[in-house]
Amino acid sequence: VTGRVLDRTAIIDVVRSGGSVYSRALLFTAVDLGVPLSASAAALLDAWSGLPPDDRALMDLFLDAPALSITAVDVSEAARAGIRAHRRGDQARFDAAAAHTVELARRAGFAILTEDPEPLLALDPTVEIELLPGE
Amino acid sequence: MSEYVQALAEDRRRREAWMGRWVAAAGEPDRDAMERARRALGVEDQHAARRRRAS
Repeated sequence: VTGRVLDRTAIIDVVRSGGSVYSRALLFTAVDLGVPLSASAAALLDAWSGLPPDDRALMDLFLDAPALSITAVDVSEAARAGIRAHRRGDQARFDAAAAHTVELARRAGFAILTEDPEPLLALDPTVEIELLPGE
Repeated sequence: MSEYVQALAEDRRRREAWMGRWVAAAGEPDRDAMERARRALGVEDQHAARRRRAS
């Protein structure tokens, strides 16, 4: 049994109307079976910014999921994620949320659930990805 | 009942309560997608495994 790290796109997919049935099923299954899910607070910030107002209530419920832990970008997390991302990817388009997401995944040994793997793989081509199925 | 067993029971209650709230707000999750999710998470669904073996 292994957990998942959800990136910005996966968080949005879980809570938005018309999101994939798979992401919601994975969340529900993880809660049912006690499988850990995690996300970066920076990815959560990105997700909030992209979420239509009508979907905010479901975001609150998602954040209350017993299986879910959100990790803040504090001083030590910033150092770890920043050092791991050093000179990786396109520096002009550096994505701090993606860098912290990769750091959480590497540390926990989890795959990242995403529908947009490119920014993550640009930071670490070896990170494990579970691609959200298009529906 | 030991503290450990009590904690497990409380954890299960908390998870079931959340699942009830989620179904009320978002509807029942898709069964096929849940089976895919269980496989992806490395959790073998015993019923599905028996069905696969029988077929």
